[in-house]
Amino acid sequence: MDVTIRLFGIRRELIDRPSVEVSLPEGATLRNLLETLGDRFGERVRHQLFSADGRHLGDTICLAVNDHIVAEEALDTPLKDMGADQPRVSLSVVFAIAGG
Amino acid sequence: MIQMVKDEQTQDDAWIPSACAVCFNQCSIKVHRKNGVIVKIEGNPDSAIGMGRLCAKGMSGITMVYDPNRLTAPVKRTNPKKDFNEDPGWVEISWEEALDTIVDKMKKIKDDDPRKLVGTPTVLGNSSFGYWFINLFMSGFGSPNSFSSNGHQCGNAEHVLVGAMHGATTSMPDLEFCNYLLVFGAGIGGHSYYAFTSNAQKMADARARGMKLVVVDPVLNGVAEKADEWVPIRPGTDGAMVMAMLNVILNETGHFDAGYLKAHTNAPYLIGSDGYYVRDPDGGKPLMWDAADQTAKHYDDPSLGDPALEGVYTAHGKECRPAFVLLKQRAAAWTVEKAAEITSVPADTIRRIAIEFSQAASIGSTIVLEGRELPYRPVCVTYFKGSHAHNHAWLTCLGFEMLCEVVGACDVPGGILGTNPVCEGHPDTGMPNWAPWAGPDGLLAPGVWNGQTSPGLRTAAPYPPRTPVPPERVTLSDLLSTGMSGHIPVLAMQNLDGFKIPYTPEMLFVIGPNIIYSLGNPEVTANFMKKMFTVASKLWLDETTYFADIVLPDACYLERLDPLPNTITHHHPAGRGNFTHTIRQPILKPPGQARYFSEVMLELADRVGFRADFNNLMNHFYGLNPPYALEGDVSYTCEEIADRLYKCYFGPERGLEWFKENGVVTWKKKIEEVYWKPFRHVRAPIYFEWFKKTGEGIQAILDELGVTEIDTSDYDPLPDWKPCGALLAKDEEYDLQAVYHRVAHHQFSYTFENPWLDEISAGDPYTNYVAINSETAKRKGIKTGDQVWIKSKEAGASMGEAKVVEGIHPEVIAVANNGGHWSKYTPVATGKGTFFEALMPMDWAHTDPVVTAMDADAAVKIEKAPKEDAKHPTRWLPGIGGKFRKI
Repeated sequence: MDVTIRLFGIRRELIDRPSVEVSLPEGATLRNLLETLGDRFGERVRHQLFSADGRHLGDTICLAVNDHIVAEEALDTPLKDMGADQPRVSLSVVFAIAGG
Repeated sequence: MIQMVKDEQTQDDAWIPSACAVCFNQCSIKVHRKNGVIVKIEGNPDSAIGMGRLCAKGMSGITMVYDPNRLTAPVKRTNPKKDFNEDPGWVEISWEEALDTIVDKMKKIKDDDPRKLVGTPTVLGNSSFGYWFINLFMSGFGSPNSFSSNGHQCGNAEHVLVGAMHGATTSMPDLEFCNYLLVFGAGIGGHSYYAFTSNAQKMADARARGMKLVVVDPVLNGVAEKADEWVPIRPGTDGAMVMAMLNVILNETGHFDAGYLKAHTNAPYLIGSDGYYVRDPDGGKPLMWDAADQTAKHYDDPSLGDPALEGVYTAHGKECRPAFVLLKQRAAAWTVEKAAEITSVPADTIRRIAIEFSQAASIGSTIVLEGRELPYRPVCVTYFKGSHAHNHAWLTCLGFEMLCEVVGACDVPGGILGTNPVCEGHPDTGMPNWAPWAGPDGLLAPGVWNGQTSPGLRTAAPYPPRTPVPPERVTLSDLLSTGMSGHIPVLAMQNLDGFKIPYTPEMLFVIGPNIIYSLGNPEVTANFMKKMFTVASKLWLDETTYFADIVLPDACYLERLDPLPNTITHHHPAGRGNFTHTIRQPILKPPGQARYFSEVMLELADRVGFRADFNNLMNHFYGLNPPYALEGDVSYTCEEIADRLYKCYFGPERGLEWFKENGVVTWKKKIEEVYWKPFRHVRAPIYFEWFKKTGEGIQAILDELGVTEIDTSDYDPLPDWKPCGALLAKDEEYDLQAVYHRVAHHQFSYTFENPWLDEISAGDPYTNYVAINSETAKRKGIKTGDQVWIKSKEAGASMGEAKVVEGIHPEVIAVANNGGHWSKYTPVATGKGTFFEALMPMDWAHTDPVVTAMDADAAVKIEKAPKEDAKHPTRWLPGIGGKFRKI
């Protein structure tokens, strides 16, 4: 399965380009997709994509599949079950903080 | 200049629903507009946010609209020299010239490295648009370097703890049922704090019902004066008192809630001699010791019978103890006598309050509400800046939280409540919704953090933990991964090379705040600003604009649109009642050429070329899915975005026009949303195991960088107390501690420009004065009315007028709020009160890196001022160690 990931927001902190193409095996999940990005772009990107224990989504990462926002719970859902043969994934990096 | 003119086009007589913004609480209001003129503002009784109440600040907001000193056109400086008393030489320019200059600089930065743009919004615009837009704008541009302007004013330590322990950003006592409220350095129900007007009413009702109120504070403030008991304490020592109270409860009386600790916290988790969880080798889950069958089991093993809180065990070959044992041992070092010496609070008083508190918790009792039987723990500790605006705030605040935790008074009737950690959404749509979830190791992770909505963001939430990495942000939030933002960029900018930050910021947006006041020490902040081309959006040309290059005229809160002005959780009241969401809508057009900066940001995103990113991030922030999602790089207006947001949350029939007309949507909270703890299987930490690893990770990075100024010894899993900077600096010469306190009719610094509030201040015995205890004043030969210099050992000096009072700790002088203005463009404020921030040192030695708190007190001496100093142009001096620079 070929997936195009469009990148938004603070790209400089993750992958400094508008989009990335990834080939994944059939049945691959969003987690597999992020792991592939971590493998390709290195440890700092992996730190950004996942929480410290490696299991949860990184706290600045937002995902959407076919224009629908995806929650943490969907990380292990196969991409092909998300409504299209060739899912469109957007990955956004946002840092919004308040407080002194 | 603004002229109060009647809008001849408007012949009406209407009460228009909106939201206040004179302070951060954003109470719901109704504004009476008559023939184009605002004649009255009242509280909106249809809303839970304010419950129809409105304070003096809210009523006085009218003057903001008709203030002849407002900035009404863009200006640029002609004098290149930037200093506190150096007139920038403003000249008016067109919006076209201003935006052309800004866009040109932004485009160059974006092409080079977008992280060179830094931005800071004001907490007073803490609404969906006012505050969060700048965060999204910055992220959309490509910069992570947005930071809160709140500095020493904000609740950083409390927010981190409340996120981790209650799944919310702020907390409040359950005033409907609480019987014993212990307040450490907070203004709840009296002069400030969250949900101010709602809580003022709820506090009054609770006091009439018989709730006992004990206030621990160096100053007999607006809460203490109404309390059963005022306990004057030496500033910065609250943590020592709390540790001694924990010792009394845990080791002397044993009056703690073992059942709660076993079921709802990580107190039974086994800790090895290395300070880390003992984990199951198969799967890595933390273990507990089951006393029922004397075996080690996962924390979520369904066969768990009786998790042990005490004892020493061997699990998988490792000697270990339940985390609760370590908490008891830590507390055991704190006798009430030791705490009395540090705090100046008598030992008997500390012991008595500890016993009263734990007995009032009614451990084991239940209450039936709406057909549900729930634990009933009617005691609460409320704490805020007075007690945690110090170095080592993390350790102190952890102690505050433990007091409620050990008696089980957390998110159940009568206890401390996170501010709405659970919401199942509007009955028609199920939106917006959020709830705490079980993060790594079964511990509580907040479902919403700092205003974001489900299923969107939890950026910088305190759990799950983040791994510290070598910094590439000026905020250092990638390195200091447990904290918030605050003043850290100011310190980081002093040493970019040391931190090996791979770029140098070139441009700063200051959207509203007077950061020369709010961030901390003014000279340190000024040096930070001087390093960048600064664009400010302002209502007035305040002291911060003396260091700006372009200033844009902003719209005030009565002239602008803000959907969800309270975001989805912030400043809402906790406890039973209704969820409420509101609107802030323009009652009048902005004066002159003033424009709301959110609209300006949208235009900048279009012109610089990052609207698609901005739209995308807004979708995530608000949880906007099709058909309400913002598409591509379409140039939506604020009105169009607001309409989509309202419809997404509350249904297609409740769009912007519905909210303009009706003002408020409201629905009843469910009992399991308010008192969620018994209904959700997440554990609160009483032992922050991951902080140990985080601290070690940060130290390793600092060692690699060669940075030695940051002390990582406070990354401690347990509460403790250490002396703050002022306590360490005090000596025979600098023998007093200066603190600032709040009065109900001011908020931060900008309300000093309000003529109605100025009138109140003139008749108030505290606002414009330096309060000093009568015995201390006598010893120093100071009388009420004397002009005095307050000189800080580690920072500058500030002038004020002495007021001799009884209700203040004898080792303390206190300044009310943030007066002492000197800008020639704010004539109402100028010359009133005392500039406290000049006294504050601002460096890593006075910073808690764990929660990014800072010392908001100072070791000072006080002297009568020579008569000729009465006409000093700024009435304060930058400097250090008694050496001051003339300005």
